[in-house]
Amino acid sequence: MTLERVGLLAVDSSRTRAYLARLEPDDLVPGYMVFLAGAPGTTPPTLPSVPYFDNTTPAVETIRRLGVPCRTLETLDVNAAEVVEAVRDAPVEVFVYSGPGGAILRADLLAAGKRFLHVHPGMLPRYRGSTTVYYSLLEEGSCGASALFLDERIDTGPLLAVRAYPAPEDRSTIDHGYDPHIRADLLARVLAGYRSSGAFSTASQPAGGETYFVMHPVLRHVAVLSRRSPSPAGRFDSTLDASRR
Amino acid sequence: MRPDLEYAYAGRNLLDEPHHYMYTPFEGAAFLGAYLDHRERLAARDAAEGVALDREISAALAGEGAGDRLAARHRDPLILPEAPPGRAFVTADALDDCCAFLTAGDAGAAEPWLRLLGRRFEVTKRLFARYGADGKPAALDHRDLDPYAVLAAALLLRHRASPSLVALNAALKLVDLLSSAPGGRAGRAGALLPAVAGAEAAAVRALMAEQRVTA
Repeated sequence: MTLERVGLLAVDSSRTRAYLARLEPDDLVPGYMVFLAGAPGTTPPTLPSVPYFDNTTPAVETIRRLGVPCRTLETLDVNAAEVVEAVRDAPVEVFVYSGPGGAILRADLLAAGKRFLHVHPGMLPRYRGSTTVYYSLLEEGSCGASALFLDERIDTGPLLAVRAYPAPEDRSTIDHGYDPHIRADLLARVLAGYRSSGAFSTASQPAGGETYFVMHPVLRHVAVLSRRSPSPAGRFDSTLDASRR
Repeated sequence: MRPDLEYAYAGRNLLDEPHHYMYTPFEGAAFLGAYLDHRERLAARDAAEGVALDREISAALAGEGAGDRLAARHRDPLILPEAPPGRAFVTADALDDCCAFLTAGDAGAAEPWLRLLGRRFEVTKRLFARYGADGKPAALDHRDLDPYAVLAAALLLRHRASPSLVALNAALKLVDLLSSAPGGRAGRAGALLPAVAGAEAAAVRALMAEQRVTA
């Protein structure tokens, strides 16, 4: 069983593989897919094995096995004209977004008549931007994820759900393992709610928060190697980070 | 004892070819040892004393024989305490004002400027000579290293006043750039680099202690 009004806009990545692995057993697989495969001859990425989900089977193989209608495009640019056209023509109302990391959706894609459901690896509005899973580990010793509909700014759209998660046992595989794992878990919860109610329930984000930038490898190493106990109240400054609430 | 691992993030001229730090590999605790070695070579001694390093930064900012320059600038600033945006500005003027206010204990006035310039650097890995009222570059010259050094100093003074991962993160990237660029050891940037590198390493050491991490 699939969700007929929900699509998936994806590249092959650990996040996409986690999403497919998590949604399939709960019959929450999107009913239509737009898959960005790259230029002809592009081979699926070789991604590391992780303990949370099958991260070694290429997404295209899983999509084929699931039998979901899929439009495959020979680009990795989520803002390319053919992507905008494919999204506009797709027989769904909402796309789960699992595009290239760091890509920002441009106005013409956002205006293509669909909504884009994104799961961000941080508690919004406090942790916006990049590598927020590492920032929250340093500040609070824990992680979080937020589901939202994308808008023209970074991580500011209406919220569908926010959920805290504990720090992983092994912090050295966060990028390809724990980060996509917790995103997939929250996505499944949101889609299960949608299946039950037939609608997505959103709330505007409260004011405040901070946009973080890609964490420097020195800080990233400290976050991975940290043996500090979780702290519910972070201790970093609230003015520049604008993060205490 | 430090394992034989080189700190690789300043190994090319980052002014010509910026590093975007995406999906950097995990190299274990030895990486932090290599980082500390790199910064301590820049600082020319063990950088464990944060308070003394603040004084070094202030002295380097003021310049030899001009110890009251920062205080004078605080009394007669060019831009601050006005907050951005709203006017075009010369980057060096805004940064000097920020340092004058920070060393006078007036961090609040510097805060919006540090946020703006820190964000500009994080996004583009560049500091342009002038910005317009819209916050966009108004001059394409970005090769003067002095503003990078002064911004690093200001962010570290800011971090010392009240710890901020946002400030420390940008400072780490700025010191990478300064130490990688051929001109980073000359002029005002060169005068600031030892104190800035030392202050940055001290901040990282403090964070490592809080997080119970050893190199």
